[in-house]
Amino acid sequence: MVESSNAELSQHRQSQVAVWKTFARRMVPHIVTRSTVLGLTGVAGAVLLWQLVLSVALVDPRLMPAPLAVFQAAVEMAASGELFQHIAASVARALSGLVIGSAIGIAFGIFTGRVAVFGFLMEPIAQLFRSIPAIAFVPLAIIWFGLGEQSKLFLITFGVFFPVWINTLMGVKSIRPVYIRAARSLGVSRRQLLRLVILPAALPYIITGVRISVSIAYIMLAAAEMAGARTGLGQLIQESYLVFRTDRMLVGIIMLGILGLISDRLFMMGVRRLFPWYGAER
Amino acid sequence: MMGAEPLIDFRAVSMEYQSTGGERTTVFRSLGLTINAGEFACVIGPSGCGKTTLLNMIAGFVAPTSGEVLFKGQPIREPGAERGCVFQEYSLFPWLTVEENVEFGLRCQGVPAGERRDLVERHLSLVGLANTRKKYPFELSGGMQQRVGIARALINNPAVLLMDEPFAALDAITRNTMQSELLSIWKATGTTVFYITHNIEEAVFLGTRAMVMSSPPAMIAHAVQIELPHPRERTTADFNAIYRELETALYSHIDPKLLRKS
Ligand SMILES: Nc1ncnc2c1ncn2[C@@H]1O[C@H](COP(=O)(O)OP(=O)(O)O)[C@@H](O)[C@H]1O
Ligand SMILES: [Mg+2]
Repeated sequence: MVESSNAELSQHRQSQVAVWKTFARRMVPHIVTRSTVLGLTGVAGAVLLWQLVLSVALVDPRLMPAPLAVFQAAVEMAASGELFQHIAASVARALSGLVIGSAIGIAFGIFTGRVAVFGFLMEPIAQLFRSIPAIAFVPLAIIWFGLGEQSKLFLITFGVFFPVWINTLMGVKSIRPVYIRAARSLGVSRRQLLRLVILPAALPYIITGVRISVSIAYIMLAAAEMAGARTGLGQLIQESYLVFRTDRMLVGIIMLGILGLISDRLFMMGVRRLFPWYGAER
Repeated sequence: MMGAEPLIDFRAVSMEYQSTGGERTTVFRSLGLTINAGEFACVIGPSGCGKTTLLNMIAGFVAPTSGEVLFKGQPIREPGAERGCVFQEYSLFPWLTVEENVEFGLRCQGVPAGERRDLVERHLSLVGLANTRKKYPFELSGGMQQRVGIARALINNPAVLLMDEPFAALDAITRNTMQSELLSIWKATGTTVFYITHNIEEAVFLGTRAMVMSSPPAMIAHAVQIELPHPRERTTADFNAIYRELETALYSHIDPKLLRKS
């Protein structure tokens, strides 16, 4: 009797263990990859180092707040809803600038890549503007469009436009001629060629351009908001500067970093889902 | 076939390329060549003799410097769906699935989706690939990719299928299988095939006519009508006799300089 129940129990345990083993074998490798473990360790290490330096060097906490103080500030701002207002305003600006700038950049890239005259016409302008940091246009944009949404949209759109244009142009120029020949011998019309061949064939380059522009959008956003705005993470940083709240400044700074990271991840997830062939094409 | 006008007619075609250095290469000088409907015409020649250029003129990708190429009696001005192409290099659209690649021509013509699906299915089974519809080209082997390329060209029901060394990059076993399958497709569809190769055996196995090209300025140095019935045995005396005839013609018309370059 006892023996049999013991046997049952051990069998039960074994099946439990088997379930957990299966779970561990299937799921853990996905969650606890070497890279995530090491990455999180790196983050924790950096925060620890931050704390350590403060305690050893006895820095005035008003100059450089401790990690916990920044976290507290963030929690307070989140509780009051203030943080999300800033995030929402910033994301909306970055996103609209990204969409408009990319659309214009892709259109320009295709025209300059496919129409030789247009290409020669725009080439020197592209080269010149490429070497101007877009941030240099912040004061000019404010004179032109004021401190409202227009100047922000302009600046982000402008910053996004160039990398997308240049990359699309390179993409169109590097399309393998055999794709165009194949399409033409399959009966594609000139109008269809653009949509059915040129655009998808240049897409890997366009994706690279837009991806670069995601980070540029945040750079331009921060610069534009710091120059004057009513909301937004850049405005939060600037306003906290005026009242000497370094903890709130750091909340804004770190949030910009997190948003940039999330945006890039979301963008690449979208790309993989929409274009499963991306990265495997020849 | 007899007495009818040829499907493709090269009339005194000359073709010169200007190289970036400025010097001119004459690939063809006053070339004449006709292809009749229903033929399986093979062109054999060493690398660089102008085979691809010849095919490109029929496809409408390049125009001759002088003379003209007629298709059904009309000068060829641009590419068209009635002249299907199968390329040597990788040419499937990597952003489309197998199914979408094959239906590309129908989409261009605005054929409705329901009709397209039936035709895609039929042509994919014609090349033995019914189960790969949803795959992307990068997921296929080289042989499978070439089959998709053939189905993609055939779906337009072209009057001629232009094939530029389509199996040259495949291993010998796959190549032999593909050759047999191509013959059954040719029989089933009744299309004309213009087939370029640098492999004599392939030409004797496939063609109803085999032509040997000389070194540039190239001409048809030798042509054989191959009457052997399909499917052919590669080891029969008749097969070997034709093989030897073509081989002799080929090597006696190759410029030794071209051989050393390749
Ligand atoms: N676009 C081009 N510009 C200049 N020369 C070319 C071009 N295409 C082909 N040629 C030259 O024409 C000759 C024939 O080329 P090709 O038709 O590709 O030969 P094959 O297909 O028989 O190898 C070669 O000498 C090649 O260098
Ligand atoms: Mg060639």
